[in-house]
Amino acid sequence: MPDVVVVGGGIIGAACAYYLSGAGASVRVLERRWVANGTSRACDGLILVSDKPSPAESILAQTSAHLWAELADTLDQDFEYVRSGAIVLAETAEELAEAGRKAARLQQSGIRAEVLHAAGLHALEPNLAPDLAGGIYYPDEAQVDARLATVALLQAARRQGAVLQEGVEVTGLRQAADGRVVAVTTQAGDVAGDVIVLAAGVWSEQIAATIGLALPVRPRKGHILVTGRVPGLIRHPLLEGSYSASVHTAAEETQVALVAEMTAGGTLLLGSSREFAGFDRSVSEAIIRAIAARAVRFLPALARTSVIRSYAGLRPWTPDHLPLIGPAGLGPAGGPADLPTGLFLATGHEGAGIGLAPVTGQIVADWIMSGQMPALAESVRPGRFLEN
Amino acid sequence: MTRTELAVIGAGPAGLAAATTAAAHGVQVTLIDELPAPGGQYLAPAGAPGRAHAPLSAAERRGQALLDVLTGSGIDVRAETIVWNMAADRRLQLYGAGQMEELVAQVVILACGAREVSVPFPGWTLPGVMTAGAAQLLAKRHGLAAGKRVLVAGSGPLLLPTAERLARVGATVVAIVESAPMTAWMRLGTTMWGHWDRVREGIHYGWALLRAGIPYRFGRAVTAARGHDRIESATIARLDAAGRPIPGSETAVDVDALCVSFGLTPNVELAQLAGCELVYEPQRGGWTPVVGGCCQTSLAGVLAIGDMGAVEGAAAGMLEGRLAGLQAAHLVGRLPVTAVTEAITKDAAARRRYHRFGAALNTIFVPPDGLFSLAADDTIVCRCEEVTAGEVRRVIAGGVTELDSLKQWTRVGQGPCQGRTCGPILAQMIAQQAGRPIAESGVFHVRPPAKPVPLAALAASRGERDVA
Repeated sequence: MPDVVVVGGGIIGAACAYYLSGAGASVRVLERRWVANGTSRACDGLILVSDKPSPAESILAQTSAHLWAELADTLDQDFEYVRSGAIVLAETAEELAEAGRKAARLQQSGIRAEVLHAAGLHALEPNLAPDLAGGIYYPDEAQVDARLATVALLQAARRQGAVLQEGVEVTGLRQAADGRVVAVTTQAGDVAGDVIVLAAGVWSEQIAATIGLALPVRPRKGHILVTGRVPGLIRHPLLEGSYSASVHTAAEETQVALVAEMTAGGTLLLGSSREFAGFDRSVSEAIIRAIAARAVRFLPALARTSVIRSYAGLRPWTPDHLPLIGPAGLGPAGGPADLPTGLFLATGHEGAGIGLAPVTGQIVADWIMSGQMPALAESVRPGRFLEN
Repeated sequence: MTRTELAVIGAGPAGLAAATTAAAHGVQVTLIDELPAPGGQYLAPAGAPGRAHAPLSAAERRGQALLDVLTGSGIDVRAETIVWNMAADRRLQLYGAGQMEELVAQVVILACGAREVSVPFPGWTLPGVMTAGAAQLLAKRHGLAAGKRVLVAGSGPLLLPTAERLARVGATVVAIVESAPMTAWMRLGTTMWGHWDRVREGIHYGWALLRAGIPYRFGRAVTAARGHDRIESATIARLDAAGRPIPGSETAVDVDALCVSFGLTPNVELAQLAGCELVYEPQRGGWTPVVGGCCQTSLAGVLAIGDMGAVEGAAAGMLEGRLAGLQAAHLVGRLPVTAVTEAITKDAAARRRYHRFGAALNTIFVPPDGLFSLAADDTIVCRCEEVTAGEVRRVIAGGVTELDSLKQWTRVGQGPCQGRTCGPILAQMIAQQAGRPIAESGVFHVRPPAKPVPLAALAASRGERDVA
């Protein structure tokens, strides 16, 4: 059974550790600060299939959504999984027509959707602004508490024998003479493994760079506001129609589109923004103003509610909006890029990391344990960028 | 966006002294405070006339005099205004009177005061259990007693005026329960030398308690509050040397209110948001901004004074406030630096005395370690998110050693108070259970808004750096 070192204690590292340890690997998770300290606590908890336009991404998202439902039944610790459904909002008749066409395309790949006109929309969500044209109801969308989900996966991994070490910062990678990655370097010395899984989100790029491996991952910053308790104000997660487009544009300028998610505690998480701002995690007043303005436009009843907190997280963006999952292709010269060697990547999920975490963990575990690329991994194999 | 030369945040005694001193030297001052009127908790205006009020102490008289100077000083006073964010370049985000405003100051003086430290015990969330400060405000503002039969408990000098004031508004104070041993007052010893105002205050309260027949019991603590819909009785136990309740020493008293205070800890959230360097110094009351001789923080043009810099009381705060006011006048070009250095020299001995006295109070009258085991596993420690002591202990046993990490594993500190109440409690719980110095527990990371602000006002506001 292989010794696997997982770099990163966020949702992706947690899922990798869970599925690897479940498959019998000996797993050590190294986290530079503490669990979910990076992007996995600075995000919403939506598990979406309706915002994935490409068939490749859609099949990953649907598989992962099923795995989340399974995890909600099997993991000991509750992480507030709810199959809440979600509503994509349309302000105008034109937007509704466009959203309807998109829903029809999604229905062909097996995603259930229902077009709501104004009356139907307000019946489902009475607190929405009365002038909205309608929306699309996607009944199979779900949500979790991202932070609790990370904790639940890691605790389950520990029970399966995985070791979690917090406060250990991986500073680089070490290669053998033939190029295989054989260890990670930390301030406390090297940690060797048969396989290293790099699941350090936006920080993966710096670690890979220490052996000259250039990952096409850039930090894309997103803001979230947390309101005071407003239980029942909304019954489903709500997404502004332009949300999906804001994710999939490569535009350099800041994108803001409303995403609203009710938590089990009754506070509302309000997003979202997408912005390239380097590694700066500070909150921008300008962006939280813009998100607040979108929130009040769609949910006028929120006007009297207070914002109690805000935060910003760095989502690992890739040029084709698909993650990098699989071997980094560093091995004996001339070998194919997808040959399993010392370094596996599990990063680049941008804003879909929570949703795609289980399928990522399963791909990584299958690939490492079998030595064969799982069929699902074709679209996400890092070789698509690394071989040239 | 508005500009000002000096923004003073907090209109308690220290902030008042800073604002009026700077204004007297021609500085344009904006004085911002959350309360409806300047004066802070210390000089809270009397809402109810008559017997709620004792004769003023010398420090209170000086504070009142500052309030008189404020009237007609030309200082722009923003009452009922929250500063919800502050950047290192002294850009402040204000919310008051239903409006947002961006204010950029050449100099910022932080005078945000301090808040009460609590220790959780079974029943501490029952209605009728409150902080001593809350009971004081009820009495000062509204002339109301917290209850008919009230127990005052905790540690430190704040217990005395609380009991005295409660008695004056008609409550029967059944006792003051102080967790420190009686010898604690003796340990203050020579540090009291020169603090005649405080000594006189102490004697005044001592006599008042005697006259009212209020027993002052040392080396004891309230270990539980019981009742159905609200507190009906409190359990008092004697403490051993480590502050653990001695089994078998418990007695129960029937009360309808319990006022608890374990001293004060600085409000450092704005300093954190701006990026001021902080340090953990128990002598100063906990986490405080690192400050230099003229109250300057690690950020250029940002000063911290009063209880926010070190919990030393109103008189020390006013002295520092005056100095910071002069420094601000110097920084905006209204005073030569010599005027500031002269004041520093002149006040040096007095400030040392305040530091010594404050340090003694802040280290003698603290909740003893043993009290943090009072909370049963089902006792709530984070009141906003209703996280229990048991959950926290399990997570600490799993290896968590810092507050921010605890916040990831549980929900602590994520509610409306953003960890203001539970932060110091949890830091102690981590330190004790993990056997590490408390400073290593850290302090909750703060993100804007520092205090809740309405979404509509945020949505309608504009800033210089807005995106299109």
